Amino acid sequence: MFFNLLQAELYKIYSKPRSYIGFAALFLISSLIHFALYADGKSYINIVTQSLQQSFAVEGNILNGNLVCYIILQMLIIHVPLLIALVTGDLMSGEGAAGTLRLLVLKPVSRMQIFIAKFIAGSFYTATILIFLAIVAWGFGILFFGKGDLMILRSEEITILPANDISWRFFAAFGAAFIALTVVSAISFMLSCFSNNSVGPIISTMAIIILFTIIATLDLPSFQTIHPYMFTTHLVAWHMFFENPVPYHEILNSMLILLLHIVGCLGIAAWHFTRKDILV
Amino acid sequence: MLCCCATLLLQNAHGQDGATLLKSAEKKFNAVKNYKAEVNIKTDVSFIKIVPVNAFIYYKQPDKMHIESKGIAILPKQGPDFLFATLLNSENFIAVDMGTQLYNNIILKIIKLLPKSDTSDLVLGTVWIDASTLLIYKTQVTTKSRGTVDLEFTYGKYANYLLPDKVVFEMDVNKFKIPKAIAADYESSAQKQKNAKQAKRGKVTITYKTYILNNGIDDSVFK
Repeated sequence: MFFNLLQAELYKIYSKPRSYIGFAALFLISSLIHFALYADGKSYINIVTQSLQQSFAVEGNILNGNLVCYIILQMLIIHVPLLIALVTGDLMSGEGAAGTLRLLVLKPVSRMQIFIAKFIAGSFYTATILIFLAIVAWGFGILFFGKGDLMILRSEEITILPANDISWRFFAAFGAAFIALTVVSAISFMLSCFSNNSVGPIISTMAIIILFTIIATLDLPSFQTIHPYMFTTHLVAWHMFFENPVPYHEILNSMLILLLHIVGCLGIAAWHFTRKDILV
Repeated sequence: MLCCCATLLLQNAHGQDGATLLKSAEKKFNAVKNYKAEVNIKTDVSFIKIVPVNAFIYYKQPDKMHIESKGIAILPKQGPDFLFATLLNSENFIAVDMGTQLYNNIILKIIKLLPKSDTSDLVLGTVWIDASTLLIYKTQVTTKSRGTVDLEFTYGKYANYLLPDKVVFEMDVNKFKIPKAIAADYESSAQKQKNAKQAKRGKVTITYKTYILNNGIDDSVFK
């Protein structure tokens, strides 16, 4: 019965046109970046490595599929939460807005099962968005630019990773990004449980992300104490897989904080949903 | 007895003047028309994290040099070709003898190189050369554009051709900084301050594993 419920939830998600906005946006943005780097990538690389080239000669293919994928991830991963919230923020509130929530809870399944099925379906959507991003960013990157060592430019440091040591890092990074985006999914899903229209949870989720990002960007001493516990600090934990050596302890810490956020949000949402009066 | 031997050795080392020694070294090196060398490049610079890279270095007389690497390799601007292109081109500078120095139990002749032209990039060069074998063991080159570069050479089975088994470059490095907008930075300012200390000297070690000498290299390799 639960699997039928899950199947129905997945069908609901993938039958809505809005679910494909994310895929279309990712494809469009990724294609634009590929095109731009294909056309002007060399001059872009020359500009960013100008400081390095004052002292050193850099040999080898810097502009390769791995770098292109890294650039796309760096640019997009902050915006992907919006695309996730667009769907997961509608999971419960969409039913309320359509007046189908009461019908749904009348089915011979527990509210908890409905809740879990919806969240799993939302997480599945998150995973498909990330897999699609991996295909368009990394797959197409390798196809058009070839493989090669990955040069990561930080403002005061350069890390160069050998080509044969990169694939697992991307898989791990996408895995970490999945957990990070599941937090966004859990927040929007929680807000969705409190609302009967979709716009509220979607906008609220974005507002929360923007607020915490601003707090993190301000980097003021008064915010330093909460900074390590904010989920936005750990949304970009994926990038740590591209450090050498990989800071596993910090990654584990980030993942734990993100998982605590997921558990916290789902706990609040489940507590509310299993007790709330459903009037629509 | 020891004093007499040392005096004799020093006199022998002083036997040729600096310019003649470098000319002889240049002549000896000219026997190498071209080579392909398999190398390992190890970069030790505070702001660059890179594992050692294997590459091929192609050289063809008089000054063609090409580095082929599957991965990304970082080399000093004054690369392996710099010594032979600049220091062994005796037309460009005046060589001044500065005496001798004992280095790893070898008496080396110290030669200072002063540029003839005011517009030359070379400000001052110093070469430590073994007068008997013509092997250059150390150089220090100061240029207007790239600061000071120290090179140390270790020789092995290709010493007869003046080709080293290992070259260690130590050079001045500019502080590395790129705009935050294009950098992959996610650290807080406190973390960045920890990383901010950048050493001003960098070190690159090139270990030559094999040489293929005078086997002919097509010009297209250098394009």
